[in-house]
Amino acid sequence: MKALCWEGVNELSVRQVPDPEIRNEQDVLLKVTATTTCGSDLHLIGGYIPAMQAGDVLGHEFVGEVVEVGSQVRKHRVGDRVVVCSFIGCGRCWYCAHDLWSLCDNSNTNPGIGSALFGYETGAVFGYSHAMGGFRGSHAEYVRVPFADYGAFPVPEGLDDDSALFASDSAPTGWMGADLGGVRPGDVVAVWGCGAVGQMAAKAAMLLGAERVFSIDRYPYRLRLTEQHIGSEPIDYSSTDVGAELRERTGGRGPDVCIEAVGMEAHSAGAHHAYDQVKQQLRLETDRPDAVREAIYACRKGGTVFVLGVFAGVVDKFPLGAVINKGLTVRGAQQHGQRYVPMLLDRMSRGELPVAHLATHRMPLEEGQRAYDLFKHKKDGCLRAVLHPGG
Amino acid sequence: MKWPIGALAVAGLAAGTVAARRKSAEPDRWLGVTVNLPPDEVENDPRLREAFATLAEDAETRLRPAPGGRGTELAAKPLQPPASGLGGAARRLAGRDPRQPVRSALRDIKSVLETGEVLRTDAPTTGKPTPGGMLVRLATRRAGGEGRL
Repeated sequence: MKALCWEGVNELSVRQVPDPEIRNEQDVLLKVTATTTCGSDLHLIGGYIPAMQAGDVLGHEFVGEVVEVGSQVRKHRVGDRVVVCSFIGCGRCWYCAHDLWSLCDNSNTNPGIGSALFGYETGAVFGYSHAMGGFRGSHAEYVRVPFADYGAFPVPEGLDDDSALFASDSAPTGWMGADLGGVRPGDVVAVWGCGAVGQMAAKAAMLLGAERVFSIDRYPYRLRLTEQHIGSEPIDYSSTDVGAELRERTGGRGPDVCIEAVGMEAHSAGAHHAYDQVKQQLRLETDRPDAVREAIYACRKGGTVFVLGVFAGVVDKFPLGAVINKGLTVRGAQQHGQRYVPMLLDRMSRGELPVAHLATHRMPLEEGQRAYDLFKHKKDGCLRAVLHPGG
Repeated sequence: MKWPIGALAVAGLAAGTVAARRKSAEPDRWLGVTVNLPPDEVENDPRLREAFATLAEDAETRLRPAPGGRGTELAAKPLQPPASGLGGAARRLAGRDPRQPVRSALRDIKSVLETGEVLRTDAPTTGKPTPGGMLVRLATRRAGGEGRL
């Protein structure tokens, strides 16, 4: 089959790889119908997450049709149209049983790597390096889905693939930021990043009752799309002091909840961005935490900062003093998608959660390299490029 | 050459972190996992008895309730003490550390008891060999028997 493979730093190819196969009795095989680029893929492509091998298949946000079912699969049949959560959860360990699915004890087949990096290993992710299990990604004609009864969900009639797709990762990740960030009715929320995840976090905050939501970015088209489709108030950090702006717009209090949806390759307007760039390139820090720092300083006293962006290792100049002296709650997580996907599919079906505008570009799998070029360099107003392996 | 430098930096960081953690650790300490099932259910499961019987040649084993009703703690202590220092590191890299098969066995039995299977990763699609890829392959070969367990 054809697949979009990582071949080295900033080097991708679409080429033939062996077909996937059922390897455990609880697997299904899926014919991928739609799969999207994600900002977190850029960390892999750029070599910032160093557990990739040449030939690894990328992609973790997808929908497809079931074409083969393992002998112990109970909930799915050949022909079902399903959306699959990007994190693989067994459904029965303590973490899955407590809805902390990205922390699954039984899905990561390389536990020693994550354990060495983080103290304990995380669950596995499709197409997201050997530190996360080494499972093939979805930018392919077919993909194997382990523990399918727990991670694959039927797509409601009437919801198209290019919308349901975002229930795989962007929407549950964003929702989790607002939910576990503790957004309550009447809150003021600020979200760093106007990509798909940041937009979903902003909409989730509104649906959970936030009275005002601010969305922060530097690209006019992303700010415009967010204002138009999500309804949050845009702030362009390249032309204003974000901290001062948020302080002024919240009567001097600051946002109750600050959600960071940017990650390890953050940009910012200040001189500290150049500092972080140099340190990251010299590998004196693995991640650039510009947006996290800003969120911590901007957050109101006693507020909450939720880190949704992907970080891999260590950062420098982390404002721990602000955390302790302002009494902040700082929390982060990779997405516990399985707890949210059915609810999000319902909301998408009812039109409460707008996602159709996220897929700004649609193209066949063969144009995967071009898809990432458009997406990475923000060309042609690209928010998400969706690949259709079936053409 | 961003990739190998990054790989080495993170591998070094991880190794350093692990080494620092292990400095004060007992060299022959118990290795443990917690199964998300009640002790009576785990104790009477023939798959556990079989796994512990297989381990008996290499390790002492024990089972006890986890605090707060949070399942069942399974633990094993290798009979052969692990080597320390450079010799120990070399044995770990070579896959000859006595703790490695014990960790793998504990992880496997936990997964079997909780889910009914041990998940296998996908067959590799690996293309050209690279220095970074060699490091990753070495790390994945040892990953099942390593880690903080």
